[in-house]
Amino acid sequence: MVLGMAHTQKVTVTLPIDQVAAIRDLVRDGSTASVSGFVTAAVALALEDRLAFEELLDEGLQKTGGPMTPQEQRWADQIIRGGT
Amino acid sequence: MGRPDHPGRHVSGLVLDVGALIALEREQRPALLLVKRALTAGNPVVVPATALAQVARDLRRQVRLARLLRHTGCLVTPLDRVVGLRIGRLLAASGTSDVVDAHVVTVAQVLRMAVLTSDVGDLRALDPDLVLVAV
Repeated sequence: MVLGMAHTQKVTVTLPIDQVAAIRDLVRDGSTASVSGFVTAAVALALEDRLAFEELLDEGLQKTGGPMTPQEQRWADQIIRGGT
Repeated sequence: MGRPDHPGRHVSGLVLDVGALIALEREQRPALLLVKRALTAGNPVVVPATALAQVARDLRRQVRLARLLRHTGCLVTPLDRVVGLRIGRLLAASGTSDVVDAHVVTVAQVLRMAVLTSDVGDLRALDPDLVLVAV
C-alpha cells in the first residue's frame, strides 16, 4: 500500500434513487468530492457507530457482572432463534 | 433471567417494546445480553416506530438508545397503511386499545421474531403464540 492511501476495490451497490440524486447534488455544488468519497465516508461512520454501540454494551455488561458467560450466550441464542 | 415463553417456533431476531428500550437505557443485564448477542450474530434488532416514539425524548441523554438507532443492525419499522389496518384488526379482535402494544405484536408476527418486553401479560393477550421474554 502506498503511504497514506487505502487499498480500494470496485464494488456495485444499489442505492435508493433519491439518495443517489442527493449525493450527486452535493458533488455538483462542490460539497463533496465524489460519489465514491461520500459513500466511503458514510461506510466509515456506520462501521464506527457499530463499534461504538458494541463498546457501550460491553461497558454495561462489565458494570452488571462482567462479560457474557457461555451460559448467558446459550440463553440469548435460544431466545433469538425463537426458543428452539 | 427469564425463560422464553412458548418456545419452539422458528424466529430469528429480536423485537424491542417500550419496556425493553427503557431496560437497555438503564443497562439491565438481560436487555444488554440479548441485544449484544443478536447484533453479534447478525440478527436484526427491531424497534417498532410507535415504541420508539413513546421512549425517545432527548437522544443527547438517552445514549444507548441513540447508539442503538445508529447501528446498522437496528431496524425501525414504520406504521404505514397496511400495518395500521392490521393493528386495528388485532385491537378489535382482542377488545383492547393500546396501539403501541399492538404494533409491537404485529411487527413480531410479521417478522416471526421474539419480543423482549416488560409487558408479557398484555402482549400475551394480543397473541398467545408469540415468543415473549420478560425484562
